[in-house]
Amino acid sequence: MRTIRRALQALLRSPLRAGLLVGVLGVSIGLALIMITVNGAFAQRLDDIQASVGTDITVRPAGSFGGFSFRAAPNGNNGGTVTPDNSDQSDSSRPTITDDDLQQLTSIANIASITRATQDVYTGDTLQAGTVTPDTANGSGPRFIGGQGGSFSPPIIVTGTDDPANLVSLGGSSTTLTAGRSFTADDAGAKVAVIGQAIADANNLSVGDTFELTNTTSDSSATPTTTTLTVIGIFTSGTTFADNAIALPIDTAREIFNRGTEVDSAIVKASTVDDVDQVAADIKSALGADKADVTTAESTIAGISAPLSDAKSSSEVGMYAALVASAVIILFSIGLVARQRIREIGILKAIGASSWNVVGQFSVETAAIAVVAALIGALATFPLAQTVADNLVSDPSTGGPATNVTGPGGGGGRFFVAGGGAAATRASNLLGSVNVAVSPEVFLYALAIAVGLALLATVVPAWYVGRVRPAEVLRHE
Amino acid sequence: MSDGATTLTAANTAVVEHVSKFFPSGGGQVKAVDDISFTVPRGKLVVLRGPSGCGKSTLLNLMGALDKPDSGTIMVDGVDVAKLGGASEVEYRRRKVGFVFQMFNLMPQMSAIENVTLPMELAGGQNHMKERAQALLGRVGLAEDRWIRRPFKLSGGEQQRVAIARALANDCPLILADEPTANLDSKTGGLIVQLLRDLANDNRTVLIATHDDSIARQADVVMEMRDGQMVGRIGD
Repeated sequence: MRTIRRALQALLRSPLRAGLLVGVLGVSIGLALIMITVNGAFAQRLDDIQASVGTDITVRPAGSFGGFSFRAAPNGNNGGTVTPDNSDQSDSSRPTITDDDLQQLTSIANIASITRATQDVYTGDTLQAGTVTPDTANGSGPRFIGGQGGSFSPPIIVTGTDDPANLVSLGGSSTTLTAGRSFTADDAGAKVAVIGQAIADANNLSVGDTFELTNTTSDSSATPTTTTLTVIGIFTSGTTFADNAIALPIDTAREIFNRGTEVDSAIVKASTVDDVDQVAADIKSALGADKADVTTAESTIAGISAPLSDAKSSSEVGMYAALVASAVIILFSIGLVARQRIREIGILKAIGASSWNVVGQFSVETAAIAVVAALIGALATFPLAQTVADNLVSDPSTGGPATNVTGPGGGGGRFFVAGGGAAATRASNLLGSVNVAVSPEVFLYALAIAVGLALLATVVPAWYVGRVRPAEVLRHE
Repeated sequence: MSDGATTLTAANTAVVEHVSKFFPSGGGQVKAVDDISFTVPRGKLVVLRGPSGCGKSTLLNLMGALDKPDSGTIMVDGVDVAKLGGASEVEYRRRKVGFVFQMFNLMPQMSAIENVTLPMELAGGQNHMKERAQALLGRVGLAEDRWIRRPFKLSGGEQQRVAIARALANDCPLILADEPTANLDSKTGGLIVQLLRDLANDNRTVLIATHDDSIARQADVVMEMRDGQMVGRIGD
């Protein structure tokens, strides 16, 4: 208690010096605390992202193009519609995945579920596609390259799925039903459809209405058959392009498009995040690399969450730099103070203070400075952490590579499907905003830093005081 | 004991035998204290007189365990000072010697009474320290309204009184005073010397290093130093 009193007296003897030291150290500790807090928030957000999609493993036929592995029907005629051609291969030579292939996967351990999907381009004339007007102002929408501008009608994508409850499989994470309902298990094989808002608008369809899809095959001599479907739901994903889609029960879709038991993509959910890599390896082994491309959600989100990962790395570097700066500041300051007060140290020893008496006093002084500085730093963390986090994470919707899809001609040439737009929007949706909630735990971190710095700073006076011989200090009176 | 050395008895507080202390200087050595032997009789005012640089302060530092001799022995109240180290050295400074410095050397952030209490705190004192400090300040003649003042609000003479009270705090048998009047006017210096004289009259041993002849006139024993050597002694 007496040591504490003496230490505080010594500190208050030079309030300017103590204040400056507290100020500089407070900034440094505050920066470290902000970085610790922000880093924790980034880590939590990354965990959340991984938890939300982290167990998904996507299986596609080898060589298929991302989510655009749909097939263009050879007899389609959609006027000026640009039809993506995702492969140079003919349909007959392209690898396919079937239900039998997926059946092999059921023997793999730690698989929670397998959902299947097909994607086909409907080119028949029984439905009109919605019209897309490119937004050239902000670059977030599809845009033409090659001299053509104005509105156009994108292809109608028909998705067959056996995961009807998950609207995300219809067109993106922001997809919502605007009318009706999605599928239930009872709808398997039924002639029902959930259609995009653009299709509904272009064809004046609402829930309960029916529409027809004409069977399209590669055999131009075959007689097309027409299937009548009932609209049970209408969805929107916010863009006309993505809303030019129809979702059907997978068996219904495969029947209409003569797909037999083919599957264009399967989402395999591993039991836990820790099982993902092993399950993915087992799938690759079971199907063979020449048959299927297997990608994990981890690799997918690695790209999407790159800005967040970069920011987390930056905050880690900043955190360590701030901690090192704090340590250097306090070591340097206490060293300087010890040198300035060498006479005081000599007098204390001359009147009976042991080295540890003096070191104890210096340690308490250092601890007091560090605690006050840490308190200031902790208080500064509350208003500043969110700002720092916002500045560390770059907005993914403002950048990102474009996805180039080549069309087959018809006057259109090439167009960008995603550009900095759709993919970046998906990334942005997935990233969301990083909410830095500063908890009272920050004071515990602050205390830990303060104690650590005080202990570290004790080294200097302990080493220095031990070397001081009172006679040497007092000789030059 | 040899070479005419004196013996530590109940009559002597300190016995110094063949003590030497050298300091490195310009590649060579300066003999600050050169083979000195003497005794300090108990309860006397002993003055160590000589010009500046003759080794008086060095000798006091050696006796106060603020420095170590290169050779010889220093016995103070039964303790071989030259062999002290670590905790025993600290304990010696706490219990055996009280220092009075030329520049007073009070803790500037502490009040007069806190300065007097400090050696007692460092020695692990628990009870009645404040009362004892008040008594000591009263004994050295510091006005009561000065007790809670910090050193910079005290005159030189008042600061030296506080320093003397601090030296007496742990009831040490030997008071070492290094030029205690050098920073005081003659009148105040005279009062301080009288105070030290009174301590000796109360059977406290006081050893003063000074070049002031007026102090020597008050002493029971006067030892003369020149160039690190003892060249004369008056009284016993």
